[in-house]
Formats: sequence, C-alpha cells, structure tokens
Amino acid sequence: MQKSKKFTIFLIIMITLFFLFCQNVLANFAEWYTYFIRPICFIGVAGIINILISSQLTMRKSRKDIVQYVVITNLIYIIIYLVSGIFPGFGNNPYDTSLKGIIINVLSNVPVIISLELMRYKLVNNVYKRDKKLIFVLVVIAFSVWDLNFRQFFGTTFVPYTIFTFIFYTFIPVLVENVLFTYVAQNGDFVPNIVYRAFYDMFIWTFPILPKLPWIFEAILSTILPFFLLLYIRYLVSKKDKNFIYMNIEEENPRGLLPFTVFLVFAIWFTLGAFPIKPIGVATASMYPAIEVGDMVIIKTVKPTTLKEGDIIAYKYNDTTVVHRIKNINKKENQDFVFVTKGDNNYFEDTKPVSQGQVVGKVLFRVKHVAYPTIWLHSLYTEREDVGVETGKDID
Amino acid sequence: MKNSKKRKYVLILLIVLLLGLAVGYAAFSDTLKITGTATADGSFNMEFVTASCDITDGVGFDLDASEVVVSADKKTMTVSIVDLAYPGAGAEVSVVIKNNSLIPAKIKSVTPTGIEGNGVILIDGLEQITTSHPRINPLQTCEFTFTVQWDPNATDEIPTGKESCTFELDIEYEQDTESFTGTPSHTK
Repeated sequence: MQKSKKFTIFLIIMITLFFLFCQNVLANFAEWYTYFIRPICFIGVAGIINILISSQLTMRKSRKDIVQYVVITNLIYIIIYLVSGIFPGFGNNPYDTSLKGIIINVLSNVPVIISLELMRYKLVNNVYKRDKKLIFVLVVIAFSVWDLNFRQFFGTTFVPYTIFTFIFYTFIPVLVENVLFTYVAQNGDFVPNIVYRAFYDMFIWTFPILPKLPWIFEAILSTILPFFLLLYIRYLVSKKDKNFIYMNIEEENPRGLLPFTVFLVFAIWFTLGAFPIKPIGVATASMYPAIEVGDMVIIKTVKPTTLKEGDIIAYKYNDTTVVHRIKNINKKENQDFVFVTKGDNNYFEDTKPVSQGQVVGKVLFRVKHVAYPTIWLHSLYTEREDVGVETGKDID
Repeated sequence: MKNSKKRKYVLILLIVLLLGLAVGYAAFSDTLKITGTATADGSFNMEFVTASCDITDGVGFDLDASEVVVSADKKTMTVSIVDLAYPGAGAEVSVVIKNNSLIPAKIKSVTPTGIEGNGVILIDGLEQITTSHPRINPLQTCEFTFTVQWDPNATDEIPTGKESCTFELDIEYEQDTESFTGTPSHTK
C-alpha cells in the first residue's frame, strides 16, 4: 500500500481510541485485563497495523550504536537511582520478584512494549517527508495518552499538589520519552525503543529493594536522561545522515552539556534535601540575631542522642519545620530524649517539648539572605497561619 | 580509540558497577535501611483515600480536637487522638485505601510508626486487614477500621488525668500473582 497521510491520521485516531478503550473499559476486568486481555489485544492491533501498513522494515546502519547508547543511559539511570537510596533509605519492591512473578510480568508486559513500538514505527514511516512533522506530533500525542493513563490520574482528588505532581512526575517525563521514541522510530528503527523500555522494566521487576526517593528526584532523572539521549541520538543521526551532510548542518555534540547538567541535577537534589546535609529557608525572626529572616541554614542529619544544650536544631511541628535552640534536654528511664527549645528572639520557650522523632537535624551554619526568593514565592500561594510556635519579637 | 570500542568499555564498566551494587546489597542488606514499600516507577501504588475517626461504644475523647489526616502524597496517614479520658476509652478510625494501579495487589501490613504517647495506648485491628481483605484489584478500594484505646489494664498515673496519642500509618503491599479466581472485583 502506498504511503498516505490521511490513512495514517485515521489509524492514529483509531489507535488512540483503542488506548482509551483499554484503560477505561477493558481495565474493569482487573487481573484478567492486566495479565491476559491487554497483551493479547495489543498483539492483535499491532498485527492489524502491520497488515495495513505493509512497508518493509528498514534498519539503520547505526542501530547497534543507538542500542548501545540506550543501554548505557539505562545503566546510568539505574545506578544513580540505586545509589540515591543510600540517603532516604530503601523499601521492598512492590512487584513480585520471585521467578513466577518475573515470568508473569515479562509475559504480560513485553508483548505490549513490542507491539507499541512496532505500531509507532509503522505509523511514523507511513508518510512522505513533507508530512513527517505533523505525523510526528500526532504520534507523540497518541502514544503519550497510553503512557499517561488518565484514568489513574482522574481517580485521585484534584488538588493543586496532585496536579503539580502529575505534570512534573508523569506528564513531562512521558512527553520527553515519547518524543525520543518517536524520533528514533522516524529515523528508521524501533529496536532501541524496545530495549529502552524493556531494560528498565526488567530492573524494576527483578530487584528486591528499591529506593524510597521523593517523587521529584525520580521526575528529574526521568526527564533529563531521555532528553540527553535524544540530543545524542540526534547528533549521531546528523553525522551519518546524507541530507544533513549535504546541507552542511552540523548538530552540536551534547556531551559538552554533560558536566553542567550533572552539576545542576545534584544542585537541585541538594536543594530538595536528598542528602544528609540539606538547606532550609528561615521565614521568621525567632532566632534573631543568630539567624535572620531570609537566611538559609544548612542542616545536618544527626542522631538526636548526640545533641547538646545550646545546639540549634530543626524539628518538625505539624506541617512546619522550626529552627530553635535547645535550652534543656530531658531523658526519662527507658524513654527517648525530649528537648525543650526556644527561639533566641522569643519571650518564652516553645510550648511543647520536642521528641526525638521530630528532630530533622542540627544547624551547621547559615548563609545570609539567600532564601529570600523561596520565602517570597512561598508567601504568594500560602497564607501565613498560626504555626503554633512563637515567631520572634519585633526587631527595631 | 574508536568510538565503538570506547562505548564497549563504558558499557562493561557500568555493568560491573551495577553488579557491584547488587553484590554490595547482598553483603550489607542487614545494615541497609529497608522499611516499608517503595513506589516503583509511579505506576504501581497503594494510597489512602479518606479517613475519619469516631467514638466507640461509650465516650472518652475529644472528638473535635482529634483528627485523621491523609498526607498530600497519600502515602501516609497521621492519626491524632486527643484527651482519652480514662483506661478503656477509645476511638474507632475508619480508613479507605485504593489500589491506584492496574496491578492486583495484596496488603502485607498496615503499620503504625512514630507513636507519641505515654505507652499505654493500644492500637487494635490493623492486623486483620490482611485476612479480611486479602487482595485489592486494580483501581478498587478497600475499607477497614481499627481502634485506638487507652489500655483498660493500665494502672500508671497520668499527671493530667488524660491521655493522647499521635502516630502515622504506612501501608506495605505487594503484587498479587496467585492464580486468580475470576471472582468480581473487590469493592469493599
């Protein structure tokens, strides 16, 4: 069959409807859907697409290179992901990592992955060059619908936090990955995409423990790594594509961005408190003059039993982190330490003593005025509430 | 050195590093901090939907001041029962959790952590969830109740005459791959 833009768009629409049908109707069949119906349906639909678009599968000569880069990217992701767990700790893998569980997960998911990528490859290559951009965008949207799984999102409560996490934890990483997969497919191959998806999934299905990372860390990794891989594959393609060479278009090697990107990722993780040493912005004058409004204090996670009177600590009180000085330490027999704290600029000691479990860490030092932007931004969308502790006398 | 050779060396190095991590885990698993259930790739997670507390038979605590709050990420729930009046006074807490994924799951345990109180509080009924609700099917919910009670046998004197307790609940769950029975989806 000849390439056809209209027919391809029709197929993309039908496939999108199929995805929505699976997620909203077939998914009601619970485990039957997950383990049987879904893989069978996907194999069937991929088979139909393969018959309808009968173009030959042409493999790029650079397939081996791209597959190797895909594996390298996945390995880097997995290693960073596992090492990051040293600080917040690990949890048991919710997937069944027994041999039976691995086989079930492989048999129920790998056919879906292969079918998805084969469909993507067929669709993006079923048009002539003038229509490739439009089809690229439509395929990215259609396949993102599958990965986003709106039913899970709409099944939760709509609060700003949920929407925020959906955008940064799910939507953006899914979009970046689908741009990557569609680009690779459009440049003549679907095997690297299968390797990318299946490699990471195999790790998730088999490793007995996984890091309990805050979602924002995973979101950053899931966005940056495929983005970098996309830039690098584009660079590879530009070096070998005759059109690029003919038009003297040279893509810049993205390797130069790597050190800066790594630094940026670690800086963001540090700001978000991934490491045992973390920053906290100070919003009140309760510790004036030792710590002023707008200062950033660096907190180190310590064993509460090592704290002494006079130490400045950060502790959790309701939803707030309070930074005050220890005035007194009490310990009853067979019970934990209890700290009596007070802000230097407060009239009274804090009304409730601080238990060991509430202690976040000890203040190492402060950096003046650096936290002002964060405090200002926080004040824009959060009303100041009575936090339950004194917030300092007025300063002349 | 050719690019392909460099890539091969990088690949081998990364694989060795990953194997080293796996070996390190096996060797140091006793000292690693492993608690609860991790959220794997965001697509498989169990979460708290709603929670409330009510008075059990009899009276005995400040219902207005007590609260049960689900965290913003829905992974933990904080229970705060205030001013239990006497040994035997208690509150009943009702919780709804949801399997917000497409994978059948079973609950391994619901564990209270960070208990703050004077050690005379009994939290009863959490272990029954694993027997009364052995499986939660994809996108289905499950409700259970438990009680928070001042130990009826407690004899220690409390200076204020009342007792309060605050703790968090964590859900531990895992994929259920036992042969399914074809029974209708679990809704309660």
